[in-house]
Amino acid sequence: MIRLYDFVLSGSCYKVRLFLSLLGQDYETVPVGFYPAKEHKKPDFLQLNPLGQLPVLRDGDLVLRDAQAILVYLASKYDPSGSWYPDDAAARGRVAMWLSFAGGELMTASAARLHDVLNYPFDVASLREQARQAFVVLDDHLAEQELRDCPWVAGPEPTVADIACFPYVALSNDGGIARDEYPAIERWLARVMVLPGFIDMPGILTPWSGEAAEEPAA
Amino acid sequence: MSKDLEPAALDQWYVIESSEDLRSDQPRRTRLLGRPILGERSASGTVTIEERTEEGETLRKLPCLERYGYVWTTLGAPVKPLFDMPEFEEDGRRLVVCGVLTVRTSPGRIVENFLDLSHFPFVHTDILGAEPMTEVTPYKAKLDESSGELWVTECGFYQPQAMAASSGAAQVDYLYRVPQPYAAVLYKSSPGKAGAFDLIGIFPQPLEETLCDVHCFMLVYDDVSSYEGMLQWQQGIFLQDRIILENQRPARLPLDPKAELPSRADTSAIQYRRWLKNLGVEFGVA
Amino acid sequence: MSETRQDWHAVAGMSDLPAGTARAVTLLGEDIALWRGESGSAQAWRNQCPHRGMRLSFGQVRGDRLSCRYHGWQFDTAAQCKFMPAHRKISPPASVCVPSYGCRESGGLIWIRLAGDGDGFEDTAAAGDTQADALFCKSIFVDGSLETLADRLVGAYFPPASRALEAMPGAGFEGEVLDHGRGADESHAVVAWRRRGREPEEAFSTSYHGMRPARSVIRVVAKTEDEPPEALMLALQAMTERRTGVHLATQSSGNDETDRQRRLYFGRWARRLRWFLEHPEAPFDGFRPWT
Repeated sequence: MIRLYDFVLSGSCYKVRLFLSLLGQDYETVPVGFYPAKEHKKPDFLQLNPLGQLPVLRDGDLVLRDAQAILVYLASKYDPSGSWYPDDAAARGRVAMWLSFAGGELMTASAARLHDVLNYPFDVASLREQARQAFVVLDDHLAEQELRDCPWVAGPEPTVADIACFPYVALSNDGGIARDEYPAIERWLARVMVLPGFIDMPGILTPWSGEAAEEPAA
Repeated sequence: MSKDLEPAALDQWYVIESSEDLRSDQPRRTRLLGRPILGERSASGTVTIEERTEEGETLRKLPCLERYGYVWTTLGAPVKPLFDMPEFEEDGRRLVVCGVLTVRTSPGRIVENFLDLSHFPFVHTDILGAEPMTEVTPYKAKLDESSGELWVTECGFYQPQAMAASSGAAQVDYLYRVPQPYAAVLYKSSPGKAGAFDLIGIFPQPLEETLCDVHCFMLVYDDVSSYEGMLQWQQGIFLQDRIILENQRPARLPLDPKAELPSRADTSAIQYRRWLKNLGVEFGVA
Repeated sequence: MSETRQDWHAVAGMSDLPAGTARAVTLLGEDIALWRGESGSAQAWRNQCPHRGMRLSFGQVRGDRLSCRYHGWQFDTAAQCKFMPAHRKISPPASVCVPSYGCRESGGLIWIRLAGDGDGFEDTAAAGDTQADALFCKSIFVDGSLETLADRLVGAYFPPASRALEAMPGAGFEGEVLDHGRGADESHAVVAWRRRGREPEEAFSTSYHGMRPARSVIRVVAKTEDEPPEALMLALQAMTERRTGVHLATQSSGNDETDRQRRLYFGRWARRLRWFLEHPEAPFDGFRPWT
């Protein structure tokens, strides 16, 4: 059984939970005392990941750290359609480019959230500004993608790049970053949130499912 | 020093840190009601708390208590001792200290949200509530004159997963105790012990009028869940509330009865706001 | 800020508010919930639920109602509360409603005014000759007041849409100004320009309207000898005194593929314009300030 070392409030762990759910893949979670105990910085956990970061995935003998690496592995192993991590040189290059963006520039939004929610001693004004710059890049890109009938981050179909970019953009309000100026991002978030198998996490506001009849009794 | 504060805010007891996290190698530099505070534990275990100037100079030593797993202080002269929670003496309960979570709003908005039933299906969807089971049945909210505490009783709500240990949906009984304006405890039917109540409490530490560190605990009968499982369940619930709390306008709690329109389901909020007004609370209210 | 609450202001592109969505916009420091029901027109409301102050822009659009995220109170397109889930059998009293603003859709953009009723739109610079066949391209947001940005935008070099396809691969900003002049009433200006390296007969004239009195709308009309005039509109949104939105719309060609290319082209042009507005010290190829 796939085992995910997990923290409920971590957007990076949520990348993996979300993707496993989209794949319909069974797994078990091991909740790690990220806060307030900081178990991920203690010897037991450092043995699993010497970088002291969540998530970590164990599948049989394989132990992987880094959400982006885990997404690539899961897609390569458990997605028979091959669409989440396409086997084409250019497409794979594009996916890698945005995976790197998700693990790099977009993590400023994660850091702003750690400051605002968990009191991490960061320069939050600078982080928010960097995150906004990254959001502008993503919003410009997605607006052009839509005009090319390629509405996903790395191509005409959703890939692991969308899953890697989604959480910290969707959670940006937690870190004091409003998304009012990024309409193409908002449309893309809405597209992700109706993918079959989508699950949310605390802090993400989902659209109406259109199900329950809400009319008051006459 | 910041502006003069009213006794109703000064004379309450406030948590500034959990006992566990205030270690001799880890002082707590924080704020309370807009003033700088330093909490320290000596190598021998003694806790001292002082109010400081913005430049970091000691102004005065503050009263200090360690109870219920937390370190408490006050900037004023409370007329009452720290409220009693006898449940902490009961055998078989497990204490979960959820850590400090920061929220950009007033303490009054935080407490009022904690007392609120009708948001469950919309904010804690499929956990503490689910559409279409949204009806809030009549309940009572009353200031207990002898204790000076606000009690909200006879609450019931249909909950898909009322606690970490819940195995399925259930009709859950609730009551709330607000022992002082900026502290609240809820009691809800325990899935772990028939006829008993589990406790969840929040102690907002107002850093500024619209910025709080919230200290939260659970005191439960649960032999099934892991400590981390229970902790993360509660942290998840809290982060669902947090995005709501940070997006209410104004951030200060409006005490004018005409400022916002309540419904009958808001009986607890109506009584809470009236109580704050009568006490003369000014800090964090509009 | 000279822009008044009685004036109409562009706040978003029509296509940036799809059916079934809600978002927040800021105008003259005011926090506004903008939403569109499944079948209806755009609505602009005070961004505050009358119940507990929750920002309604975080709400869910359910059919043609906006449902508050906090307690699920539902408001119809008349801003009237129709359903309180905590009391399923009670009809909410008529007093439970949200203050709303005048809101119109024209020229590819959504326009709001904060004071006064919904009338008077037709008399404004916002309602112009690009209404019927307008094509919204992109919004950009930059630091600075509307006054500052308007000063810098008047005189900017605006490429005509008909050249979009041709200009796509390159930057499309390689023009030079042949002549310019300013109307006596300061309500419009004219720039004549040609593409660098081309013959003089390919020269265009570009005129700017709406500098006064409504500086928030800049309308650019490009004319050539043998082609019909083309219009480009830049509508400025005074979000706060320090932040301004610029909404860019051109006219539709009537052909979907050409329109797609135009939107791509002007989207890129808007990105260059944004960079320029963010870097006032830098020379901008394609921008000719008035002297």
